[in-house]
Amino acid sequence: MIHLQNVTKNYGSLAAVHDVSLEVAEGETLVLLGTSGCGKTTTLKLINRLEELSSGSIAVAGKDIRQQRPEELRRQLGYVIQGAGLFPHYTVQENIAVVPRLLGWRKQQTAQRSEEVMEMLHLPPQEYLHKHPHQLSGGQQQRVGLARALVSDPPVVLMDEPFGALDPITRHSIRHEFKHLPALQDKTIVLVTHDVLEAFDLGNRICLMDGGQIQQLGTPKELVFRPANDFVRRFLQQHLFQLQLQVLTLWDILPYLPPAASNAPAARMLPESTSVLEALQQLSDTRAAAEPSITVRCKTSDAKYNLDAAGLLAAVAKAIQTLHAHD
Amino acid sequence: MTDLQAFFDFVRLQSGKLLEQTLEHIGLTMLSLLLAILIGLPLGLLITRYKKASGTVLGTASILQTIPSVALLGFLIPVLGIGPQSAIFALFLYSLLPIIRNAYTGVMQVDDTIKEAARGMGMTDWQLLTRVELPLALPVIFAGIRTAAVLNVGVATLAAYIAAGGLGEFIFGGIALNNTPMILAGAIPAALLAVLFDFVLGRLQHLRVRRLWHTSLLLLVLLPVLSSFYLLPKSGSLQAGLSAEFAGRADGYPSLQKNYGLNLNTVIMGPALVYKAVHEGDVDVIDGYSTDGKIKTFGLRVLVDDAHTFPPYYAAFVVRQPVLQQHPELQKVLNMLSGTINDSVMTALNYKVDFGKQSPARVAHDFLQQRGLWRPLRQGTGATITLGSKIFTEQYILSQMLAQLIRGYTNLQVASKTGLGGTKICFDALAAGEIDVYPEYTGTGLQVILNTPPALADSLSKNKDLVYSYVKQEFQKQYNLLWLPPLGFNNTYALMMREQQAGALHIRTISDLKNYVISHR
Repeated sequence: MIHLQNVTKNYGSLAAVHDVSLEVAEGETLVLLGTSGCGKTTTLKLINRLEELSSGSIAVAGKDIRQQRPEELRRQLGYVIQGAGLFPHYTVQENIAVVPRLLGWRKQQTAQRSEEVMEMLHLPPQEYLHKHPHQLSGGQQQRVGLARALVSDPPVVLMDEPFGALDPITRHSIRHEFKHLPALQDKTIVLVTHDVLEAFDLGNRICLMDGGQIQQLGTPKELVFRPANDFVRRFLQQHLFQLQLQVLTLWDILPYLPPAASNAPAARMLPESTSVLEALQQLSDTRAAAEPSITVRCKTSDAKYNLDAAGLLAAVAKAIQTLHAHD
Repeated sequence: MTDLQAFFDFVRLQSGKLLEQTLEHIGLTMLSLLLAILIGLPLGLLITRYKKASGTVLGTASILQTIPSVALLGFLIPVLGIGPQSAIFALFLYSLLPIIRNAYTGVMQVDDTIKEAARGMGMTDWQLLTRVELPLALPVIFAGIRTAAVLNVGVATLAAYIAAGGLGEFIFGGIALNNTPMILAGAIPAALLAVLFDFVLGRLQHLRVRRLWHTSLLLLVLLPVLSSFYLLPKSGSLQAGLSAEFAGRADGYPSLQKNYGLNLNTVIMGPALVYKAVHEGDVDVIDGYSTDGKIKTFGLRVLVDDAHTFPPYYAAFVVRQPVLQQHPELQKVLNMLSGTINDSVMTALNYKVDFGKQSPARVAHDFLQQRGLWRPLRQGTGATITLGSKIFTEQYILSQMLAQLIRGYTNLQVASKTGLGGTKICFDALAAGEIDVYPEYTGTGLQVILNTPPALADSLSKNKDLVYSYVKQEFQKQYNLLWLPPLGFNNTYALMMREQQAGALHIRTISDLKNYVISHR
């Protein structure tokens, strides 16, 4: 869907982005991860031409972006930024209607679609339509920002630290909601963040950058278990255990899980794609700790395992050992 | 209390003129403000896009702001002439800085995130400016307009100095005539206007952005309407430019209106500017002094005061009686100049000093020689006679003539105390015996020194001989001072026109002028 070929961006003699090539598949969420100044935001802005290329080429949906007028291009790409960037002199309704207005939609269509998007983002229209941004909480503003980007249903959404300005609690809940939002499931998303956990939580693939160059581009699992260089290893070091729990799924540790002793129906059932971290959270939630058995729903059959946190972690340890042994 | 009463009386009496000046003032302020907005706002917005030019533009506007307002008018007069165009342009230049600067700052202070969001969503630069930056910058822009408006109300009072009208006319007139109620009648409305503009624009500035947007459109309609107060057509064919003092004094323009029924289309300006203004054709009729050297310089015709409305100001030497008694030989010398100098001769002598750059002594010498009055100096060793003079050319020349005559015809010595300032200082010095003789004018003696009641002064002023004999009698009685026979010229108020124009229109007297004005209304 998005294709970057040997992309370089120079500011004077300084290369903010150097020779970056990557591809984002349709429906995929690619996270650009790195510390500030690593070139991730510049890379994002090159895609919607808020920054202009020094060399290389970028194509979106097969069309070279330089063949289109920047405004026309941007109207096709959703754009969400840190702190939402809502227009303070516009109401929520007018903020959401910005792009439809630019696209020349009819009022009726805009109003209908705005309300749809607001409902979807849990912003009851009758309550919020006529409010101004300063009357909203940070989380609500970010929802409006998201609604504004999604109202025209663009196939591609670019996000620059979309949750960066929120407090940790709001941030977590919005992120969670965002992850499961049906409207975003089939979008091609490029998301910039400096938050490692966020990157691993949201990304189908992660592009870790430093010094304007790609250090590693791969699935979360690849980054955790097959770091390309010392930089990647050091970058993930601090959160390594949590990341391992996050990237390993029940399917990965199935071989090491003890089978259930009894044939009694299991307390809960989890799909095999559930991350270990998620499973642990579910286990700690459960009131019926006396009955630690769970069923893992596999593609082929449902297998039943007797499981508690300790058993799960033991299985993880074995799985990690095995994964590293393959290197 | 009496001042306050006098102020209200003045306002009631002059309410028509006050209203006219207030409207002119509003018009002047608003017109220049409108121009400044039309030029400054786009310029301020432009430099947000061409930031390299912002330093130059803001710097230039700042420098313009630092030029003292009177000096700015002075710079503009040679280029744009005397009159409204210079005043409006000066006010326009003053308003530029707050408007450009606030437009620039207003747009620049819009949050970068918001600008980026706008561009990221696909707004063109024009859409970004008109839909996002401009609305968000409006409060700051309004603050600039407010500053400019309040500043302009104050500076616009100076417009009266260069014949552009406004409330400054009363202020300058009041200062020239030492008339406090008149000053207040100009200053108080000007202050109230400033407060009013500040209040109204201050309220607007704090409106919500959307309302402000509508208001600014309304303002763009309203400003030209207010400006038009100034451009209301003025009737009449000849334009008069009068000094504030002449326009306000009872024996000045008001007496012409009363006695001739003359109704000119007048503007007020600084006394130093009237000659230049008439010379350059900015105005057609001015007031001045009948023996001023500038009459010759600028080729002006003094209109004959055929109804004798201007009080006579015949010059004569005033001398202390005891001096004459001690030195009887002085009497003959002092009388030598009597009746020898008429208006045009005095004008020519003044001209030689003021524009021919000759010294008063040289001019006096040449004149005496030409009249056959000059004699070589005797290097006398007698008593010393102290001569005084006021601080202007004519008095210096007269004082020099007298000094040379005394030295040529007597053995007395002469000391000069010239440049004794105004009438009061000269007269006090004479009365105290610090000087022995100085040239004075009959009208001044009547009005300023004797403080003659207006009714009596008016009736006397109809006849120059009556004035002379009255002051002579009173000076002798009250101060023991003697008025010698008049020298011949009358340095009084006069109306003047360009010689060429006056000739073409066949205007010789003030009555001719009145008839011309009436027939061409």
